[in-house]
Amino acid sequence: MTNAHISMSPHELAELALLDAYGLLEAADQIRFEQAFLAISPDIQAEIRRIQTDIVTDETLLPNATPPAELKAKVLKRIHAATTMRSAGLVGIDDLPLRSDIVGHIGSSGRILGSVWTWRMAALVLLGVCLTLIVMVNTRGRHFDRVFEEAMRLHTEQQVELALGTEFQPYMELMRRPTAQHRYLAVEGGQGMIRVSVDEARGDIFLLAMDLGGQEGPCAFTLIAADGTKTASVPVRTDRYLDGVSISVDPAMLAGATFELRDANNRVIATNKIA
Amino acid sequence: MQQVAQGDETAVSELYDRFGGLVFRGARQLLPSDAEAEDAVQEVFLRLWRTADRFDPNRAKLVTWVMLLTRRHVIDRIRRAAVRPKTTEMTVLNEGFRGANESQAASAERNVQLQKVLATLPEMQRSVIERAYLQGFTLREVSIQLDMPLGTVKSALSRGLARLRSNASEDLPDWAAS
Repeated sequence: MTNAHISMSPHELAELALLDAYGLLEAADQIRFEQAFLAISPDIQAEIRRIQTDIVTDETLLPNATPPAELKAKVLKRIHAATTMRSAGLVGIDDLPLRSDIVGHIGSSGRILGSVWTWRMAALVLLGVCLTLIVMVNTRGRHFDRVFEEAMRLHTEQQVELALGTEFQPYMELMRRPTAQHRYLAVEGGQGMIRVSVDEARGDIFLLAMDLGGQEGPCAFTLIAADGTKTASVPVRTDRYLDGVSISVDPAMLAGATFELRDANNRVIATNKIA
Repeated sequence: MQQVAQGDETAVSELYDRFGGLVFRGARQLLPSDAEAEDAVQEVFLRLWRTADRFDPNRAKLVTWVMLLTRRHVIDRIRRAAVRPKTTEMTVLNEGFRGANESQAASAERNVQLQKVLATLPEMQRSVIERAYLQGFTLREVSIQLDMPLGTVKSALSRGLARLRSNASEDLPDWAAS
């Protein structure tokens, strides 16, 4: 997305600035807002900054709550642990800089740690094998499962947990169900994929997205039932190497359903059927 | 912030002393328990440390940047933690926090100022604020729930939030002692 493509009225800009100050913008709008902010004049930027500062520093509607005294020590301990890991050359997935930063940093200070790229390239090599297979022969699901799991193993469970955050428990819970089955949506002609894990009996689904950074902006996942009924689109982040989302649908929708992944321009970039 | 980026414990300690209380209150406004708010505070400061080298004082004041990050994180946390409604049963949630483990009465008591000012808003603005800001539904989900265009939801939300602050400041003398 370049500045030349940003077209936003002052009214919309102010509206997004306010929503951004409250943390309510979704990823696509946040990107649009940040791009528009960079394109406007300094005096309007100053006004936007003032609006946002007034909002975030307004305490009149905040509850009277005091953090416990021991919370500070917990914060310092976590940062100390993260600092130690970084010093030892160990980087969790969540410590990976955003894609735009990766591009910038490679060209400048070369700050990217060799160990990070090593495992990432290894995983991508494995995925590259998978993508070739899935495009050619869709029935090689079991082989894809094995290779995918090997790629995930490279991340280690701890790093996956860091990446998925609160979605880690739903992910593990669904993975442990013997009734769960997996389908893969590989981006055609591009990089990245989504594994769709489904428990047809209960209507539970977990989307695990990997390496969708080649996309500009977030993608959207949709389930289309055999009768054409569509679920509401679920956003999938592309600014992280891993993203996970758990969703629930009516089990009746799953029989003969199709999965669809669309990019930020609403083009279908990957599709698969449940059976 | 450069010292924070380097993991300087003194710098991180000072950052917490300046903003820890505000971050906690911001988290506690939307999260249903002290424990969750404490977790959120830790995650926010961890994120502040990770992104400290990207802080640009020309873009925003430090307090603005800290609280922008806090609000985004808390909203994202609510959205991720909540049980998403089945697509064929998009029931309207009118009360309380989704997936919360506190009673509605406790929530109302904690946010008495907020609830009082919310009641002064027009129904549509109040409804979108409750769903998007307090319950963590995305704007698209609110649009579907209320059968309203997304642009209308954004406008109603932004006008409602602006009015919320305006009405709150008018009532400020009543809350000065709280």
